[in-house]
Amino acid sequence: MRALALLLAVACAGCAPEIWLAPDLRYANARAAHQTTGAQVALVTTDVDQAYDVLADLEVIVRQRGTFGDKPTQAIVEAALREQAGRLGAHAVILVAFGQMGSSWWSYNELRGHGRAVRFR
Amino acid sequence: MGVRSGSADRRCAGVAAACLAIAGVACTATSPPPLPPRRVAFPEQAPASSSSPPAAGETVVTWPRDLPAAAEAPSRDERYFGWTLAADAVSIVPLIVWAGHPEKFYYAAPALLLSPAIHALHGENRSAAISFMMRTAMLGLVYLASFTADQECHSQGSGDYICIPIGTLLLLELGIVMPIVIDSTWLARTSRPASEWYRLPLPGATAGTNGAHLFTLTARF
Repeated sequence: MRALALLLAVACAGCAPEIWLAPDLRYANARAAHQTTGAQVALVTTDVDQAYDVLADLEVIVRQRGTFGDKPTQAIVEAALREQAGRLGAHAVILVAFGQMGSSWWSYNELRGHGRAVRFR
Repeated sequence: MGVRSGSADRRCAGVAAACLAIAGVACTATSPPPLPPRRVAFPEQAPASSSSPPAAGETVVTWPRDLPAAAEAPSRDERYFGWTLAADAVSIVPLIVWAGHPEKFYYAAPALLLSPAIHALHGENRSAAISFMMRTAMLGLVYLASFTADQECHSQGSGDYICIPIGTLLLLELGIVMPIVIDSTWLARTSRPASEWYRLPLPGATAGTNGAHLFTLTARF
């Protein structure tokens, strides 16, 4: 019975896609003191004219687990970007872009996306 | 006898190159175009006034409010599958010896403990527990297989000099390979805060005596 419960737990864990975070702080020039509400962080695909400080360049890779796991979607990437930006204290994520979904060394289906977490002055 | 011809070596190299090329072509996921360098010049803007309503057609961006919680350094994911694979390479030979001599239980210890210990050393206690459970099941399977192999050979009863218990060997391979693959691809990952984040300056806004906002910079060295 315990083995069955363990198998079920492993199978359920295998359904959710793997989220891989690789932030790059090469262009960052500041950090925030407080977190912000991640769900309210705006995501835009372009640059903005309002003066801002760069907190980090966020890269998210979403991978399908196994054969029957959920496929990665842009919504999952966006949610991960928002969550990480909120923890950093960002006001928005600009220059959001996505790659083409396809296979990789690690998964049948992989989707990469990135954006620049900024805090307006 | 032991000397290999140059053509055989070239053939092996060609096959290896072909395998790499096929694997490379199979990777079809692409990255988005790289982000440009940080922008430093911004157009002059009128000071924001909370009393004046936004002009018609002007896009109003609502900023998220600051929470009381302090900002955290961004998490960076890392893999350490090389360590778990090395541990498995070291422990596979004692494991096979143990399958032939189950009474020498200490031969099974590396296969049971090395990979969970690596997870624990990386601070991944949950992965260590899962790995330990998988490897306990693996040892049980190897122990059972050592008996079923005997039965498989005796049931053939042909009096052959060499008996290869194919079914048991396949079961063994599956039972040993599964934990190794799961350990190295799923469990051998950790996330740690980006250390360079702590060296970034902390901008803040303070109000002066006349109510004007002053821009301050602080840094920790």
